[in-house]
Formats: sequence, structure tokens, C-alpha cells
Amino acid sequence: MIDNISTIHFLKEMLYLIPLLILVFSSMIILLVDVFAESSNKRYLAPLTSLFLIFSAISIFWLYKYIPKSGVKILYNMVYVDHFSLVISAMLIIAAIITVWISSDYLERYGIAIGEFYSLLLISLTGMILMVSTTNLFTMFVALELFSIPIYVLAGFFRVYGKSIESSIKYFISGSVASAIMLYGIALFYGVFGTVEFSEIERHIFNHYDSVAQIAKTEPLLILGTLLIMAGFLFKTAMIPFHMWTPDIYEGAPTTVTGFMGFAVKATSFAAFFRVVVSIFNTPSLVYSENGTISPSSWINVIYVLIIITLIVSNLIAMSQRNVKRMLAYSSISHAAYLMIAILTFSLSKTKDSYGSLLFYLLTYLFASIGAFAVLSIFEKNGSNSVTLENLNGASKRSPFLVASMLIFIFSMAGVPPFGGFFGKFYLLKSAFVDGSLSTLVLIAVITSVIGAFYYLRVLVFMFMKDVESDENIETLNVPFLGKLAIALSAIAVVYLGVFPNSLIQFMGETISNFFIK
Amino acid sequence: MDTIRGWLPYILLFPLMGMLINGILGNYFSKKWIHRIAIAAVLIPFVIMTTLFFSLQSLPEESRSVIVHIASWIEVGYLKISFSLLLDQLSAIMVMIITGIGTLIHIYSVGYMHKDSSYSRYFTYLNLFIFAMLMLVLGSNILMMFIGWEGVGLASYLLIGFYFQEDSKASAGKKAFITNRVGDFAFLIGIFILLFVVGSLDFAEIREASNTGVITGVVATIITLMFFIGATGKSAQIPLYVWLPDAMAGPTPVSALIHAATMVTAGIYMISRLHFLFILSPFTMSIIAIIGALTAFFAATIALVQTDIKKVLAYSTVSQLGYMFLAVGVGAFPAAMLHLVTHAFFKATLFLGAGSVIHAMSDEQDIMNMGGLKDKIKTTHKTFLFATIAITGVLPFSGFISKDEILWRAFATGNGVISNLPILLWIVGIITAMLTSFYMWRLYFLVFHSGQTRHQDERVIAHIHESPLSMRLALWILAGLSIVGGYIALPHFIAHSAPIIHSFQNWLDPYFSTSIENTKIVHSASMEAIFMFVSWGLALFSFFWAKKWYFKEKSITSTMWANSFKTVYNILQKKYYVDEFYYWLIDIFIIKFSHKILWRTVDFVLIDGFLIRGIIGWGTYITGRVLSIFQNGNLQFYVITMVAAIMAIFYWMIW
Repeated sequence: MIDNISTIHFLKEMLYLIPLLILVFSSMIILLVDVFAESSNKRYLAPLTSLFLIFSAISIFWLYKYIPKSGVKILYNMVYVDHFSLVISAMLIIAAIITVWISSDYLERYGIAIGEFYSLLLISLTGMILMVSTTNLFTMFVALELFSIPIYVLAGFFRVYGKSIESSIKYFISGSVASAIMLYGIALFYGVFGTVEFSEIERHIFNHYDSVAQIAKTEPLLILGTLLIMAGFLFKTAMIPFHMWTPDIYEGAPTTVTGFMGFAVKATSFAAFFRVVVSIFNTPSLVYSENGTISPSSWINVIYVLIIITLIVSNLIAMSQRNVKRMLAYSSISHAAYLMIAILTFSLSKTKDSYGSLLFYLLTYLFASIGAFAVLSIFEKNGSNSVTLENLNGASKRSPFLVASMLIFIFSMAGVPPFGGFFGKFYLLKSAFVDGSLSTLVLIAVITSVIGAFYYLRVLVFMFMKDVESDENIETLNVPFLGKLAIALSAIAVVYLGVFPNSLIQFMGETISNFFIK
Repeated sequence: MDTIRGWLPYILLFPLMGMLINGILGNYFSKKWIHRIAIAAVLIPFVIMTTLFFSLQSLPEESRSVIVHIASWIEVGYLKISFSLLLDQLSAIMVMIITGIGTLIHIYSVGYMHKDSSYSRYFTYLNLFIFAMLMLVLGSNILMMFIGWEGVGLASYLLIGFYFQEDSKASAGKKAFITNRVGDFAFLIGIFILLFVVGSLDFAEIREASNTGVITGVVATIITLMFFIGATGKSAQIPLYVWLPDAMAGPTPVSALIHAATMVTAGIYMISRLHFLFILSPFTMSIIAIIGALTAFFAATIALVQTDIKKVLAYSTVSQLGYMFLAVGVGAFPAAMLHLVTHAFFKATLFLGAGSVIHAMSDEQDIMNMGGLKDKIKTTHKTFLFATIAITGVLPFSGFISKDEILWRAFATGNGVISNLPILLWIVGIITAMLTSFYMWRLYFLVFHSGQTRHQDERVIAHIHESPLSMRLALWILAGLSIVGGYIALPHFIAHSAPIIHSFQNWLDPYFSTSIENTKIVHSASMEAIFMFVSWGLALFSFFWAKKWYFKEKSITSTMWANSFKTVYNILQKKYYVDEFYYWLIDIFIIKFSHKILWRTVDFVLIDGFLIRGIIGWGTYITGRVLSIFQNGNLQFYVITMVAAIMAIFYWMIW
């Protein structure tokens, strides 16, 4: 029997879930509408979806003011909503809106404009938002699966193309292995401590162990658990050598889906990993040796080495790619390394600046990356589902608008001022450099970003300087309205972030919640 | 104070909005709405500024400097640059001029451009210019000024090349842009040095640093010389003046607004704004005065023989700008500002009048084909006459007052570097005044008098007509200002008896207070009256000479003179062969050196061939290929790699 007080309590808790609830219900509504709507009316599915997304975004803004700095734990501590999760959720929703706008025409061109696409996108988004708003390993795993499975399906959405199917299957199998590994890690934690709650685990580690060496001797399973959970995240964020799925899947998946997962999967995994790091991994006894220095065999050193490998290898391989989607896949791997630097910086220095720089970097990466994939999705030749550098020949004559936007996105990713990406990199590396112990890493990052400039700018060389042999091949591209809007807004956002980075980076620093400062 | 804080940003906002609206949606509007939006975008700021002017006036003298912080822009270490606006005595005058004359020229353009098919593009550019120019004068730090500086350069380039279908006009735009680049480069270097020395780019802090001796003499000389080179570019002084005459390729209202009244005075404004820096270096000040006087003189001589109506006015502008630089060079900043204001009035009138003439003559610009237009276009004639009197310096018209002030100050201010300089400057100045009077009257008589219209085509002559109302309206208002504009500052010997009238000086003096202590006046004010009559007399002499030659039919004596001084005439006609000389320089340095050595050898062979294709290209390509062997598409292999990596890391962590 439900009494009044618990009903009110329940409703109050539901209040914090409104963004999620909107997404869940709208995914069902979209499916229903898709079933009953005339096929000629299906083009309204995209605006309808984006309307729901905008509602959800508005509710997030509203919640942001409503939620205290300490965050709110609801549903028996299974869900934790704080400013950090709201900011990440807002970015994810923006990514989804842009994706929906570009996809509506893209799907129509391939003749697969059906509601499942939007519905799956919304379900995936629900999972992502849930994943960043939890401090419970078990909820986190469920959320991980909730957002991964729709993405597997979306990757194989072009059922008629072998590559699409291949990427879907590859993603599914390797992703399942990674999930299993991560789940095993969670099980080990549960086995050792009997809880899956972050703060409980942290307390236990803090109370029972002193140093890394001691843990390795007395409870090696804890080390293994740490490693396995980390491996799951390294897979999702595509750090080398856990990256191997990335190029194949980025290439095979529909381009707009690639754009979405390029940002959203990464951002979600980073945000969740960030929480795990701050809460569990950063416990002193998991980092330091007995004499108070960072233990050589701690997870920090593992990540440190992986970042260096990732920075060098991903940039070198990207240079030899002719397929632009594959090239951007490797570029996204190198961006992951940058984000890892931010996480390392925060766990070492715990400053507001490094926290803000991580979020700001994500924001610049959001617009530049989705924008670039959006442009590619329009340049894509019908039936091939891939874009090589040669396909971009003479692009500046086919659509000045698209090429100008691409220039902005590419410059931003390569880190050329005055675009957002430059300040993203700048603030991130600055706070890493200030910390002192990471200066070698900063040096390598700067050098590899010079290598990065080579393959980024090569795209522009093909777009601006190479002409098609015969003039007949030049057909002007018609950019659909919603796509144009999405690309234009992304480009404006990138420029805005580059010209007025200050206010936003300060805002991002202010969103730090009590979860991160203890 | 609060009214100013609240309203100042809107002065910038309206032109920006006007530009965006017309720029994005202009093609969907009718012409009527395009110019309504554009005019409102300038008129409203003017109205706001007028009210702000009075609220600024009501403040006590020492607090007439209001900074409005809009946003912080760059914050890196000690470098903090904000988007903030500064309204004080100096920028208030500039904003009044820009928005006031800007409005009139927008109105004039309605009539002038009414047939043009790129109507919205034109007004978009005009609003862009107003926005950038306001940014230039309202910025509270050098970087904001520099944004405006580059912005007006862009707007100027776009408008000079407005008729870009014609190759020569597009090239004129490029010439202006590239010439300005040279100056801007020096300007930037100056900014960097200043930033290095002072650590801030805020005007207030630079002033503080200059007054407290943070900036030493040598450093000040280097910085100010760099800034001055920047100013020679934007304000068309020797050696970078060559772009301004070519800039006449743009529509005539643009020449009036940008290339006569406002943008070209940016250099004067910049030096006045940073006067505390410039007076630290007497050397730079002397250079500025000398360059100013020389530019005034040489440009005036070139103007003597030009036959294109707009070219004469263009060289006249260069010459008048030279006067202003002469003024700032001798530390007479208020005098320079005064001449800036009066020059804006009468030169805008002259250009708009020229536009009206060209409009009437069906786009004919050669004054040798004109003549006898006095009765055919009456309004244009009268307003042109007033402005001519004003520029030639006849009391009581505005040009006299400001020019006299400058000449007087040039003579009266002692120079510590070269002791004979004041008298030399004064002589050059007074000769220039005489030349000015001659070429302006020559222009006036050849266009409006000298018998019948000499154009070959009968249809053109038959078609001569007065301009529409919108153009006449602007002409009348500006001509009125040319007459009375000078009364804001009367000469010393009159002003002493009626100090209230001398308000322009009083208004600006608080801003320039430091400089007034530093420049001492070595002669008495009573001499000013004598000087005044000398320059007046010389101007009258030129007037009669020009009248003798050009009032009736073009007289034989003028042709005879031209023939007997053939060499001189040709040199003047060819503008001292400066363009040819610059072309020769460019030919050697850019075309030959850059092309053959830098591009073909260094870039092509060394960098592209050896470094890029050789080392980087093949080296990384092979590494990339080798590394991507692992990327073999085999799923089992991927998973095994992952598991192997985990095992390896576990081994490392547990060891």
C-alpha cells in the first residue's frame, strides 16, 4: 500500500528524471507515429524527434538551476544527478539534435527513412544520460549496455551494404567482449567488498589498504578488478591498443551515425570513467606507494604510457589513410588521448581549471567532429557509403558553404586559432603543464598535434586546390535546409568558442560539483 | 553615468544588426526597406550619441571618461584583454562625426545608388564600415582599436572593389588592401613591443606607464615610429599614400565617407588617442611633422594638374591629411582634431558634390569635358562653392579656422630636435595653402564656369539634370556645416575676448592635458593675426590667378605654361612616378626574388620536395602502413590483441 508521503517522495524523485523520461516516452511515441503515419508524412519524424530533444534540453536547463551543488541521489542511490551530469547530458542532447537534423535527408537519400532510426537514437541517448548520472557500478553497466546495443543496430542500419553489416557485427562482438571484461571487473569488486556503490568501495579501500604494493600482495584481485573496469572504458574511448574496432566501424556505419557515436559514445564513456577515476581509482592506496610517491605500477602510469602510445601511433596511421572517415576515426582516437590527459591532470592536481578544460575540450570536439561528419555525409557518393580524399576534389566549387564550414571544423580539430579547438587544446595542455609532472606528455602532445595538422590540412588541400579533370563532373550540391542549419550552427559555435572562450571555460569550471571536490 | 553605460553598447549594436539583416536577408527585401534599415542603423546611434554627448557634458570635467565593460575576451597569464568601450571627449567627437556624416551619406546613397542591382550588398558594406569604424574609436584598448582598424580596411576594400566586374576597380581594391597591410604589419609590431614593455594594452594603463616613466625614450621612439608607419598606411601619407587616389574607383558616396571624412582620419585619431606615448619621443614627433608637411605639399602639387574630378579631390584629401599630421607632429592635437572635423564637413560636401556632378554628367569624370554647369545644377553648384571657399581657407568659413590654427601652431611650437624646423614647416604649409586654393578654384571654375559644356556627346549634355531630393538634402546639410562648423573653435586672438566660444579646445583639453605642458609655445598670440592675413592673402592671390586662367574659356596662357614647363608638368601628371617606382620594387622583390628563389627553389624543391615528400611523406607513410598492418579487419585478431594487452598490463601492474 502506498501512502501519501512516499507518493510525494516518488514524484519528487521523478522530477529529477524528467529529461530521461521525456526521451524514453518520445522514443516510444516516435515508433507509434512511424507505424501509423502515412509514408508521405514520415519526413516530419525528424522535426518531431528534435522537438522532443529540445524539450528534454529545456528540462535540463531548468534542472540545472534547481539542483544543489552537492547533487541529488535518487532511486535508492541508483541514480545521482549533479551539475556535471547535466552539462554532459546537455552536450549529448545537442549532439543528438544535430545528428537528427542531418540524418533526415541522409536517410531519405538512402531510402531508409524509418522511425526506428530516431527511436534507437533516443534510446541510446537515454542510456548515455543514465550512464553519466550514476555512482553505482551496476547501474553504470546497465546504462552502458542500454546505449551500446542501439548503437550496434544503428551502425548496421544500411542493411543492403556489406560494410555496414560488417561494422555492426564487429562492433557488437568486440563490444560484447569488452562489456564482459568490464562486468568481470565489477564482479571482482563486488566479490571483494560486497557493494557496487562508489563511495562504499572508496571507503573500504581507504580503510583497509595503504599502498599499491600492499594491495598487489594481499588482494591482487582488486588490482585485476581495477584493470578490467579500466579496460572496458579504454575500449569504449578507443585508446590504443583497445582501438582496433574504431576505424572499421567508423568507416562502415552510416556517416551520420559515425558522427553521433564519434562524439557521444566517447563523451559518455569519458564522463563515466571520470567519475570512476575521481571516486574509486583516486583513492591514495591505489595510486601511491609506501613512500608517498606515485607507484610505478599504478593505473596512472598505465594510462600515462597508453596516452603516449595513442598520441604517436594514431597520428602516424592517420597520415596514411585515403578514406576520410577512417582518417577521422584515427583523429578521434588521438582526441581521446587528449581527454585522457585532462583526466590524468585532474586526478593529479584536482584543480577547477583542469576540470573545466576537460568539459571545454569536449564541447569544442562536439561541434567540430559532428560538423565534419555532417559535411562528409552530404559529400558522400550515393551507394558507396564512404568518402575518399579523391571524392573531395574540387569540392570548393560544388558547395562553397560546405567547404567553408569544413574548413572551420578542420581548423578547429587541428587546433588553429581562432577556432574553438585551439582553445580546447590550449587550456587542456596549459593545466597539464602547470601541474608539472605531465610536461613530457604535453611536449609529446604538442609535437603529435603538428603531425596531426598534416593530415587535417590535406583534406583542405583536396577540397580547395585539386580540381576535377573535366568540368562536367562538377555538380553543385544541394544542401537540405535542416542539414544546412545544423552545419551552420555548428560552425558558428566553433567560431564563438574560439573568439569568446573565456566566459564558457569559466562556466565549465563552475559546474564542478561536490562529487569532485572532497 | 548610468545612461552612458546603458546606452553606449547600442551605438555599436545597431550598425551590426543593420549589416546582418541586410547581409543575410537583403535579397528578400525591396530597395525601400533595405535603405530604411540601413539608415536607421546609423541614424539611431547618432541620436543616442547626441543625447550621450549632453550627459557626458553634464559630468564634471575630470570624470568625462566612461568605460563600459562588455565581456572579457582573452585572459592568458598576465595578458587580460576585454571587450570594453571607452567614451570620452575624443571618442565622443569621433562618434558624432562618424554617425552624423554617415547618416547623411546613407541618405545621399539612396539617390546615388538607386539604379544599382547590388543595392543590399552596398548598404551591408556601408553598415559594416560604420560598425568597424565605431569599434575603432570606441575601443578601450589597442587590440579593439586594431580590430576596428582591420575592419574598416576590409570594408574599404570591399567598397573600392564594389564594381568588381571591372578588372581595374577590383585591382584598386587589392592595391588599397595590400598597401594597408604594410602599415598594419608595422602597427602590429608596435603593439607587440608595447605589450612586452607595458604588459597591457589598455589605454589607461599605457597612459599610466608613459607618465610614470616605464616606457623610456628609445623604446617610445621605436613603438611610436611603428605606430606612425601604421598611420601612414591608413591615413595615406608618404610613403604609403598611393592607394588613396586609386580608391576613387569605389562609388562616390563611399569616397566621401570612407576615403575623405572618416576612415582616413583613423591615423590621426590613433596618434591623438596615444598622444601621451608620442610626446615621449620628440624624434618621432618631428618625423611626423616633416612627413605631414611634405605629404601636404607634394599631394597639392599633383592635384594641380589632374583632370579627373575625383582624383583632384583625392589628392586634396591626402594633402589635407598631411596638414593634420603636421598638427599632431607639433603637438597641436586639438588643432588636428579640429581640422579633422572641419575637413570631414567640407570634403564630404565636395565629394558628394562631385558625385552629383558625375551623376548629372552620366558618369563622366573628366573635368575637361565639363564646364558651364553653374545654371544646370544649381544646388550642387552652390554647395560645391561653399565647400570650396571653406577648404581654400577664407574667413569665416570652417577650413580657414582649422588650417590657420595648424599653421600657427606649426610656427609657434619650438622644436628640440631641429631648431629651424618650425619656420620651414610654416613655409611649406603656407605654400601648400596657396596651392590648395589654386587647384580647388581651378576645379570649381572648370566644372561650373569656363563657357559651355565641352562634352562630345550631345545626349549627355541634354541629359544634365539636378540630383534627386535625397542627394540635395545631404548636400545642403553638409554645406551648412562647412560654413559654420569652424565656429566651435575660433582663433586665439578672437577667442581670448570671448572664451566661451572657444569650446572645442576647452572640450578636448582635459584629455590632452599632459601634452600641453610638454609643448611650449614660443611666440605671442598677436602674431597669429598677422599670419592669418598672410595666408589669406596668398589664398586670394591663387583665387585670382585661377580665375584669370579658368573662369572663361580655358585660357591660352595655361596651356602655354604647361608647354613651357613640359618636364615639370609631366612629372606632376605622372604623380612623380611613385607608382612606377613601387611597381619596380615589387617586380624585383616579389615577382623575381619571391617567385624564383623563395617559391621555386626553397618551397618547391627544398620544403615540398625534400622535406614533405621525402622525409615526412615517405617516412611516415611507411610507418603508418606498417602500423596499419595490424589493422587487418580480422575480428578475432582485434579481440586477441585486446586480451593480450590486458594480460600484459596486469603483469606490469602486479609485478
